Amino acid sequence: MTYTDLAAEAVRQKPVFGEHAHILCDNLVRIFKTDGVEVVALQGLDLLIDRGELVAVVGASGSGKSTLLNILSGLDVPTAGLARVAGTDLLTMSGRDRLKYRRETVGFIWQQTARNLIPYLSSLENIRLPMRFAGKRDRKRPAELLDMLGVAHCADRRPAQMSGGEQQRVAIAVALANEPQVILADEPTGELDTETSAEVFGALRRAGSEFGVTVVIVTHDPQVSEQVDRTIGIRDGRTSSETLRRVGDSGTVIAEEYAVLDRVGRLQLPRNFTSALNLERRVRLELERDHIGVWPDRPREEDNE
Amino acid sequence: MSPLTVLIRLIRSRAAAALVLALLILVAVSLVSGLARRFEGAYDTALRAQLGRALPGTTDLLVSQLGTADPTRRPSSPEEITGSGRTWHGLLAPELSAFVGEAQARVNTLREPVIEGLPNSTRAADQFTDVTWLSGTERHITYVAGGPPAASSPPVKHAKLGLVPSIDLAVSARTAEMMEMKVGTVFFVGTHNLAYSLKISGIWRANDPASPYWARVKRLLEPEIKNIRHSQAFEMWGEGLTGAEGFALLAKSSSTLHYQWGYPVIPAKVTAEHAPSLIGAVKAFEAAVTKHSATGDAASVSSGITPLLEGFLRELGTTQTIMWLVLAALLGVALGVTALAVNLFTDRLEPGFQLMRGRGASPAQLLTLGGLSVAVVTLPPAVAGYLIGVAVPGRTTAVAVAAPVLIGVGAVLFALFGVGRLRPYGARRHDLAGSGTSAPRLVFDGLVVVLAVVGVVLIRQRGLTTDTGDPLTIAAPSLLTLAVSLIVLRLYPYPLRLVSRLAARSTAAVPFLGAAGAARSRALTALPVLILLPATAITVFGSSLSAGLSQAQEEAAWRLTGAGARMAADHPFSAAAVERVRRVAGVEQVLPAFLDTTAQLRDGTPHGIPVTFLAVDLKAYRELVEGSPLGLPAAPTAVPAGWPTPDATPVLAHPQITRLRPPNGLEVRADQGVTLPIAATAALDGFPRITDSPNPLIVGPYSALRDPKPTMLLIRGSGIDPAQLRAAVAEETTHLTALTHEGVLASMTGSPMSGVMHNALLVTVVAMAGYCLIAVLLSLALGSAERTRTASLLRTLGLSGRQARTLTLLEIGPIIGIAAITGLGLGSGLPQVIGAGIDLSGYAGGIPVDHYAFSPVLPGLLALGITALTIAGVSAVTAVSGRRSLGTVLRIGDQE
Repeated sequence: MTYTDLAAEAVRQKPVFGEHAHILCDNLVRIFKTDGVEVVALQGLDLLIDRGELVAVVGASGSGKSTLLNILSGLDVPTAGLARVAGTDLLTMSGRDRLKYRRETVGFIWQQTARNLIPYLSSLENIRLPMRFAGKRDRKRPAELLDMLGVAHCADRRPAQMSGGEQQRVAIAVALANEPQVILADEPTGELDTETSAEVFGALRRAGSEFGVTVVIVTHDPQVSEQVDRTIGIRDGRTSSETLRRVGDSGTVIAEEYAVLDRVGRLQLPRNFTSALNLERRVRLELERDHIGVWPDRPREEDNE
Repeated sequence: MSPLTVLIRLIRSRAAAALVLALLILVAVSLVSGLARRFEGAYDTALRAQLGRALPGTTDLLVSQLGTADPTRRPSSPEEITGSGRTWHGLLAPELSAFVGEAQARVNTLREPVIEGLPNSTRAADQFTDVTWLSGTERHITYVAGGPPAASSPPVKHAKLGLVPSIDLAVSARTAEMMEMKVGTVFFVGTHNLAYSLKISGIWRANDPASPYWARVKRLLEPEIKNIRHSQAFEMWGEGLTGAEGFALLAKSSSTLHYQWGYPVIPAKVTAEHAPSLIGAVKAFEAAVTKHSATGDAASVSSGITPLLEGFLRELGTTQTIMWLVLAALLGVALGVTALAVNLFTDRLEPGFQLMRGRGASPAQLLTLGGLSVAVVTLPPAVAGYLIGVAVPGRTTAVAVAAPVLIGVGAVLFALFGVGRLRPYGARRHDLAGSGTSAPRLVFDGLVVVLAVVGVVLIRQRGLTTDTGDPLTIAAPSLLTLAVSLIVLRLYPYPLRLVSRLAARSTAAVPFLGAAGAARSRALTALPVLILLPATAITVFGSSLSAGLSQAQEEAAWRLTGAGARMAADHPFSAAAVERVRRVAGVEQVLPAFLDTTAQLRDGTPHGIPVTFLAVDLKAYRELVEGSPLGLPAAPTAVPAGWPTPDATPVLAHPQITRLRPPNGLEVRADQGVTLPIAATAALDGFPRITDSPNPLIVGPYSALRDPKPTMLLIRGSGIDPAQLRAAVAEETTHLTALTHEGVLASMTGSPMSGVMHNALLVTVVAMAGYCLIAVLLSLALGSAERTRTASLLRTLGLSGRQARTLTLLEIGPIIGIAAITGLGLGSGLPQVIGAGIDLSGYAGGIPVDHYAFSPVLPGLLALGITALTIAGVSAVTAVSGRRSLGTVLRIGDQE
């Protein structure tokens, strides 16, 4: 390669990381400082979600998933890194941008069914409320949303007069009221039984397919992976694994778990793998023809024998 | 769905909190507005009562002119007099003329001695009869014999005086009886140079002798009898009415005439607001009259209204200051309670508002919704409260109008502040520790403390009852209570943390949890402390002030009377009269004393010193007033060594006298031939104010006088009627003072201003006590959900219902206890701190109120009430939470 080729290579535009992603988090760091103690909630998290995807973010308590959701909601600002949702840079938003973002770009669904809706307003009125906040007046949309989500019969009911599943489906309608591009849901089925949960997931999937909305569900329930296209696992403030759901040739749903390799080549090995082989401090890597082998730094006793 | 629908649904969903807020606004506005109006009304009533109680005629504006100049130029007919009256009236300033009634004009001779012609069987040493023309007499008298003075009478010839003019005179029946006149009686008055004869043309009776019409011309109704000093003799001075002709005759003669125009001030029209301008207007009138009469006979204006108004304004100053204090404290506490109620209301709105914020409501939209919802809840009761206030009799003042606006706007601002602090649902992390105190808050707290200290120092140095009405000093007591509250808020967690550490060592969980919870629930407890502490402090302060005033009035009444009752006269009381006094109902013991207010102290100087001399048996006097607040000094027993006159009588004397050391000693000379060498070395201390005389007082033993005759009677007893005392000695003396302790006290406590003061303090005490209890209730209601959740969580861990109750009590009790106890302590201490700056002597007969009684009854009751209410409230809260399903409570409360 000549010097000229090198120079040309240097100025050539490379594809930017996550350029076309609908939701992008790049090396996201969030540190809470309270009374002189620093808590690192996110430690360089990377996340890419495409438009129209139905994604679940799972993780144990304290893994940083609520912090991630708050950042994606525009309620919290990361300490460092990049966060972009539907083209909006979440780090540089002003107060006015944040309000516009909440009104037009994202919709929310929370875990507690009763907390998603104003108790003294009917379903229709609850849906009209965010539209009114945003200054929109579409008289047909609320009823259409309820109809699409199968809760048209609840139009004039107040939250107390509805079941948990109905309340959550109305909550989805409220979240969709202002035609958002992304729906963020925090444990939306946490209070529901399996059957009702399936109804709610069905409604979310319908919302995704009908309106092309990207849906991000934060949950600690790994079973959710059966209901979504992709499940992203978070551990210790980083994305650790991804489970892809695809329909096999025989028509059965196949879920395959992958480890996440970040841009600088970092990889989180599953905890059960490391403990099974007693991997500690350092490992030995060997590049094979089609894979990389990982060994403990010192051979085990039984291997020597 | 209109915004109004959302608003109404929002308020209806929190109906209980909205109702509490509305009720508190109604009470606060009606209380402050009503009290402000009531105070103004009471000031007016007090002024009118004072004007009404003044001796009739003393508040009139009296223009006097001595007609000595050229007889041809002075008014000589009723028309001319009325014309002059109109001229004077024209000089009145508009602000004064509005309150002045129709003038009463009078012309009279000046103390004309009777030369001859009256029998004088009463043996009066001298007799005088004046001739008077008075406007409007025909409407006020009825003739019982004879008729009005005739148009003219021919001159009468007298053996010595020659031909003298004759004037017809009509006299009252009492005058005719006392001066032995009949219709047709002719007698001669004047001097030998200028004499005239008077002929009685008729005898009349006053239609209403008590009418103010007669106030300044009492001698027309009944001759005045005057005792002649240092003798048993007396003089009699009568007066009769003449007609226009008689007056014209007099005016054209060269006799000196006294012209008077009396303009009555009509009390019903005067208000306290007018008092200062009236004083100025009277002064301007005096100047105008003097200026107008500069070329002829000098005219002058005299009136008792100026000193009366000045005295009233002095009292008003004190009262208004205390009222301002009361209103400022009341308004402050009312605003605090309003803030607490708004807090309760917005607290209940919080989940919905958080959700709306999360759903894209802008802060401005939520502020509008929150502000409007509180405004909708606040406006009707604020208007209703104002209307209730307006219904209270009185006068509208700036405070009465400002109160509803202040409280209403305050409520909305509190709501905006509360809503403004809301974060979108999910944004608040409950698992993170709170940050420390903000710098602005520290600066604010420090500023309040500094201002309070400066205010208190100013009050102690300059006094509170200044005319300037400095807002800082007015607000100082409230600021002081606020400052102490802020300090308590800063410091109270420390001892509680210590307690929680100690409790942590014990095996019992409840005390530890309670103390730890109490030490950490700062945000929740700030407002109740800020209300409860000032409210209890002002309650106790108000009651101390009221009790101190009552006690001071009681003591002042004793000091002004000198005994259960006191009688004094110009002439000695006879033994029979003393005996009659002894038999008056309620009289237990009578101690005779000798008093001369015009005695003389010979100290070697040519004229001596005018003194008041009282001779009384001090030992008996001390026994007489035993059990009363009077502390009489003991009688000195010996003449001090080196005194120039060793045989002198040792006496108690005013410090001004005890300082004297003349080489030839001191000697008192008084009535009844008293000549007493004295040794005045012991100072009078705390001796009753038994005389109004400004002369220094000397108190000697009664036994030192030779054959003393009592001119003063000191009486032990209660329930004595002063009228009966007067009646017992009426035959012997004319100038009599008869006071009872109860009567003097009643006149002090019955003064309208004193009543206003006591009522105001009573209302404040009751209102503040009420607010204390409301603050306790609201602080229980605030955060009850959080407490219920914690208690429910702990109940799943095995906490019993009783333990839950104890836990809540331990969590809430300490802060309420600390606030109440500090408030009670501060309230008890406030009179000592700022009492010196409040001059209440105007209500205690001019005697300074320098100590304030601490009555434990009210603070005790208040403490009891707060304790009972706290326990009852805690029991109610735990009982309600105990009925709810644990699962429901925990699930609803769960946030993460």
